[in-house]
Order: sequence, then structure tokens, then C-alpha cells
Amino acid sequence: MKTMKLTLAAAVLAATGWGTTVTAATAVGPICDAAARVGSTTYYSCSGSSHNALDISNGTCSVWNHRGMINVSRHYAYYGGCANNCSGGTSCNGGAGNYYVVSGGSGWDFRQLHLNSNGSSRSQTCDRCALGLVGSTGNSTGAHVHADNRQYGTRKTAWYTSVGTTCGTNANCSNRLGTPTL
Amino acid sequence: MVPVSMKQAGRAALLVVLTSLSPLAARGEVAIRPAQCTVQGMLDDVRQAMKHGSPALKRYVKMRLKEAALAMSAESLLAAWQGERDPEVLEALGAALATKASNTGAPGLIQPLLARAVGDADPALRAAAVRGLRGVPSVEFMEKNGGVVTYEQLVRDASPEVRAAVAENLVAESADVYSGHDRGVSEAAVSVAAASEDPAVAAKLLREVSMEAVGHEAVEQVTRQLRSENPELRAAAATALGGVPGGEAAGARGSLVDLYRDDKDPAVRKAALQGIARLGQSQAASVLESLRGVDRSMDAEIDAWLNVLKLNLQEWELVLREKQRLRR
Repeated sequence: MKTMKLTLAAAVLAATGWGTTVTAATAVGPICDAAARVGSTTYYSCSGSSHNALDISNGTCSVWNHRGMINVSRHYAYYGGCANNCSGGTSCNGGAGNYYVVSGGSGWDFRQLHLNSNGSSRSQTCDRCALGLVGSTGNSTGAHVHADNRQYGTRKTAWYTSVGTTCGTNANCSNRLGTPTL
Repeated sequence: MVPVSMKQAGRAALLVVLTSLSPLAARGEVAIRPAQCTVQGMLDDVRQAMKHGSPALKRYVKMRLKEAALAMSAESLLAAWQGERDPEVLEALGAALATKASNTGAPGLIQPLLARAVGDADPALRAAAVRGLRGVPSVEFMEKNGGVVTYEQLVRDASPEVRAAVAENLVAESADVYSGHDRGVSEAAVSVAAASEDPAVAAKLLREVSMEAVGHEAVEQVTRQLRSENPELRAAAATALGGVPGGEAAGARGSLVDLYRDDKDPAVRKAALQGIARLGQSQAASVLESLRGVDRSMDAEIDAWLNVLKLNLQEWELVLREKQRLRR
């Protein structure tokens, strides 16, 4: 009954000009390699200091494509300008390195950080396309993909905890890692 | 090491034995057989599901085709596309091709969809081809294909089903692909609404596509729709003007105030008030106050907006929800 009421409310709001409702998207792994694993979640390495995001790696640098994680077509806005790097430790783009942002409604966004750029690295609208290479630009301690889901700049964790993603979860691109709000 | 062919033969023999021993075989029923993953096999599954399946199964087979298409050859998908005559299967196949185009950055893959959308003699198939483009960056893809086929052209189709599909695509693209932030799609929707001779389609576009990123020319196009003979379209244009960027707010507010004073249609006046409230939010109170008494029957609507604006809610969605709670 509650679901029906919410559905009706959403329909009424949409019909009266509320066109930017937030929705739960699905995020899959960013690397199409069976060796890709989640290395950090709410805490670095699942036991260190606060992180509130996913770090994903397959142990390589500048070899594998860093792909868009949202499994429908979305606009990925690119913020580049950092020299490719496999060890990190720079403050380029505030520590984010080369990165992409998918902007949702009501202050929500989904970011993918630290990629090494290549010919695919530009703002684009696509479905799980190649965005660059898995790299370590910005404040990073080795090649990986950092993925976070924020509202008004605050990182949220429910998008991955709700589906059981934790350290060691296989992050191949066919696997669902979370349901970010956008 | 056992040769591969011997392994396969062994597996086949095991399957025969297991099948013959199964209770299904004993009862003379059809046993489950492994299916070969081909485009035609998947399309047959879509066809069967569309005829006899539950809504969940229909969604599943369409999604499965779309995902499988990422790994299938474009040639096999395009060959199937050319011969398909079932609108529901065509739409699913079109969506698979469009998703593959979005995944691989190959907008040329949607050219057969565009050709069918304008050229097929059957309006149901034209509409299916248009619907196949839903949820991908179709406006951008059309441009990258040379702008030979555009939504402005498709919205003039004689079939209402095709025109409705155009509006649904643009609404979905603005909201689902860009969360309302893309100027190109919003301005395309405004141009399509202007080109449309179907007021219901134009009204849907203006009412439901986000205007948050449009430029001055698009705002002028929307403003011209306030003079439409169709009250639904005038109301939709008023709703759209309520969502234009801050730099355009002063002009839009003036147009909405004039509309409220001059238009006699209650639904149009109601939409004008909503637009004024949205443009100004907390600063809209004085404008709304000034309109009290223009139409006594609408004063309760003005009061409702003023009561909501006093709450100082920080997002339009919350303002609108509270207004609808107070007065529909």
C-alpha cells in the first residue's frame, strides 16, 4: 500500500513538472578483468581510517580500461589535466587526479577517480564505455579506481553496503557493486 | 590429457543417460535442453515472452538481449533488424542496437533505426523504431549521424503513436540520461514542441522536460507558446517557464504575471502561479500577493503557495510536494 502511494505521488509530481526525481542506479565493476577486486570500502582496506567509497584494483597500471560503472547511458563529465602516473601521491585536481562525475538530481553525484588518460578521456554520454586507463593520478597509493556516491559533497555508503559489497568482492565489469543514488 | 572432442563426446553421452533417467522423461514430458545463444534464439524468446509472458519476464528477456548484444557482432544484430516485422521485438532489438552504440561509441549503429523510423510504411514499426532509441543519448547520436533524421521531423509523423514515442524519448532522455542537466536535450525538446502540430505532445514536452539549462532563444520559444490556442499547451509553457535558469527568471516572471492577469482558463492561471512560485521561491511572495483579487476563485491557490513558501523549504521538490499536500 505504501509502495502504491509513493508510486502515485511520483506520478503526480512528474505530471506537474518534477522532472528530475532521484533514482537508484546500478553500478558494476569498472574493470573487465576477473582479477579485479574491491580493496577498500567504508574504511581503507576495511580496517583503517574512514574512506566511505570503493577502491577497486586488478593489480595493473595503465593497461586495462577504466570503464563507466553505471549500467545505463549517463553523462560522464571529465576533469583531466593530470599527468599519467602509477604511484600517485600528487595533489592534482585536489587529489582526485583525472576523474569523472555523473551528476544526478538533488545534489547527488557519482564519481570515478584517479584514471590515467588516453584517447577515450573526454566528457561523454555512454553506457559502461571506456573512459581511460586504470591509473594512479592524484592522491593515490597505487593504480586503482575510486568510486563514490555523494549528496552535496558528502560521501554515502549505503549504495554498496546494501548489496553486500566488501573487501575482496569480485569487481569484474559483469558484477554489480552497488546501487548509487542519482 | 584427454582430447577436447573426447571430453565433449563424454559430456554428451552423460547428458543422454541423465535425460533418459530423469522423472520428466519417464513421464513423457519435454526435458529442459541447453539453448544455443544466438540472435535469433534470443529474439524468439522475446517474441514468446511478449505474447505470453508476465511483465517481469518481458523485462527480463529484453534486458538479456540488450546485455548479450554488447558481446554479439553488430552484423548479426543488423541482419535481424532488417527482417523483423513484430513491433515489440523490433523495439527490443532497436534498444539492443542503441545500447551497443552507446557502449562502443559508435553512433552509426543507430542509422537503421533512424531509417526505419522515417521510412517504414507501418506506423507501429515506425513507432517501435523510435522507442528503440529511448534511454540513450539519441539527440547527440542524431547530430553525429549528420542530422539527416531529427525529432523535429519525427514529431510531424501522421501517426499519433510515433509522435507520442518522440515525446516519451525526449522526456526520458532528459531525466534518465542527464538528470535534467543537459542543455542540448532540453533545447531540442523546446524546438520539437514548437515544430509539433499535436498540442498534447508539445504540452507533454514542455511540462516534463527540465528547463534548468536552456538558453535565451529557447526561453523565447517557450514564451511564444503562452499564446497558443490550446489551454493545455499554454499551461505547460507556464510550467516550463517556472524552471528556466536564474538569468532568465526576470523575463519569465513578467510573462507569467501577464499570463495570470490575461488568461481566463483556471488551469493556465494555476500553472502560472506555480511558475511564479518556482522562479522566485521565497522572493515570490510579493509577486503572488500582488495578484490577489485578479480572480477571486484563484485566491485560495495563492494562499496555498504563500503558506508553503513561508516554510522556507530548500528544494523545489519539497516545495511542490508540500503545496500538493495542502491543495491539489
